[in-house]
Amino acid sequence: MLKYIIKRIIGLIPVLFCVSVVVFVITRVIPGDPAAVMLGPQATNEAVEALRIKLGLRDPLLVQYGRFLMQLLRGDLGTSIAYNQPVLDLILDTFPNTVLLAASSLLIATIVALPIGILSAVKQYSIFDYLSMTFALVGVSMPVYWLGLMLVLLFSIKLQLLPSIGMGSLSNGLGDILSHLILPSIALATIPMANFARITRSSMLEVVRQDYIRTARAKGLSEWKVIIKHSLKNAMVPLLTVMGMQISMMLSGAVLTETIFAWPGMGRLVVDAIEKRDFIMVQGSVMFLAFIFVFVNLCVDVLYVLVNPRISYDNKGGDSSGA
Amino acid sequence: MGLKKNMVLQRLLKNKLAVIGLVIVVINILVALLAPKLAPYDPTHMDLANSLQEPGTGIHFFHTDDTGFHLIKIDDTEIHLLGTDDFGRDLLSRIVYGSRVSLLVGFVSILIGGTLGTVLGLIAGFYGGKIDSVIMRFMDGLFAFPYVLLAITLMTALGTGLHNIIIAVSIINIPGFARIVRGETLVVKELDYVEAARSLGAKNRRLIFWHILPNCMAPLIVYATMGIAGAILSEAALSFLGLGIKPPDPSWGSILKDGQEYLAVAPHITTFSGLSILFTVLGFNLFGDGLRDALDPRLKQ
Repeated sequence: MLKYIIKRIIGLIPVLFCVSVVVFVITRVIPGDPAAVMLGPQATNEAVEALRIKLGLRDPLLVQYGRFLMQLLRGDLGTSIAYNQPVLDLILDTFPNTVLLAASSLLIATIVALPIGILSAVKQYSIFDYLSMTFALVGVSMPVYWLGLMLVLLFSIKLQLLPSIGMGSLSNGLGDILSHLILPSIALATIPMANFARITRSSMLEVVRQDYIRTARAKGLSEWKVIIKHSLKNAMVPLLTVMGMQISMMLSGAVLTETIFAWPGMGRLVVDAIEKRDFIMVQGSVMFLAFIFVFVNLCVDVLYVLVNPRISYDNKGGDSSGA
Repeated sequence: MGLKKNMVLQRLLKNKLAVIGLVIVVINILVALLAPKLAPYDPTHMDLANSLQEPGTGIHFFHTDDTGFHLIKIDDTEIHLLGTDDFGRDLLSRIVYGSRVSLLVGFVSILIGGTLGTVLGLIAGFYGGKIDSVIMRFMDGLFAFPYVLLAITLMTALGTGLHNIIIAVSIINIPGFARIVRGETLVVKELDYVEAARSLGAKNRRLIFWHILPNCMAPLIVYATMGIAGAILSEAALSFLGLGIKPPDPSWGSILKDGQEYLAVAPHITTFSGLSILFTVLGFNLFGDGLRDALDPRLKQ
């Protein structure tokens, strides 16, 4: 097992290397001169030129990339141009908020989707199954930001029940944060919820047809026990793989959701950095998010092998590591 | 082969949801093609005196004797079925024209990204070894970005505009196709008939494009249909963030963005543009879902 994990971690190095190349190339072709942006419109040409040299923007691209890579290896993401603070500090300030949002969405999605998926599978082709799977398809098709705005329209503007922007603060009690959390996390939960429900249903259907389930029924176990104890455990395996994919989707969704609800998370930080042409901030935070994503997927893969003894981890190492 | 196609079509038409999806898709294509005929006004025509009109403006209902309600236009108020936006532009016309952007980005970017991804996946899967590793590690690298973030960064680098959206959305779609096709290729290339073709002296290129690719088509078509739905969502998201279509040209995402400011006073702008996105994407997803069931009946017994 340890050998497998080490092999997978080594396999991540080329992926992260590719990520760093892509990030570097994209951020260097972003139009707009960061030095000029930093100093503002009143700056003299000499000052801008001096800053360009100081930032190393006059060096050959390969030298700039080498420096970027060396910094990355030391865990240094550079200093934000717009905020004049270390990028990592800014990320660590906002990332927990994004995690809070994403985690509560994941929780909502799972709590709602699991029972729906199970019930749909157990009562296959019933009206409930038909309706819930149609709704799930609507959920998959949902533009998250639009749903967010509709929730704001209904609950904040018309009913005036919930706040529509910001995160609240702990000094007003936990309830303040929770009330700010409800709308954005529902919006963000929609797509994973729909996906989970569909996958739970299809993998439950797969499992229910297996022989050992028939055996369990034949033994006279109650239907409830057959479903929860025998079927669900095995049906969870595909769900776990999808969870990893959903993390990437949720980080994407978080960028949009945070913009709508002015949630002080990393998504907003990045969008803001792009608007300000703060390319060091952009490359740092995109690198960070990509790293998190790759890491989460590694954990999912390891868990996957742990729950599913049928998969031998010896010959899985070369397979696509992002999935 | 013809018989098989017929069976797929029959299964598809039996699936009510898939037919609904197909109808939505066809309506969308028709609206996009006939936009100049269907839109009551020029989508960019501003009329500040009539800004933020509610839906149904200009329509008057009169109760006349016993025959019921009649739709009569009495004065010279302009009719705005879905109301107007902050510049007094007719929302219906903007949404009708917006469908062009959505469908164009959806189809073209999946065509480009799908083709590139498919070729990369075929090469990686067929040759294996080092070539496979290099291609797939790079695809993993692209895949490791949250796609919205990748699209946003690309758009910032490329600048706004229709062409650049198509480029950005194409790029974010490459790794998904590459992965699916690679997986299929790995299975198909081991089949006997490929070996037979090889022993008959078929060259690699012929093997890949004549013998392996056709057998990867079923999952590819399904993935592409769903991919169009995703591409439409991506375009809308980019335009919503102000990185997509340049104003004043209408796109559903940019209409939504404009409407966001007036959510409290004129919610119809946001509501209708979002509904257009939702229905179109749903149409493609319903159709793709039905297509998968029809192509692979094992999944749905």
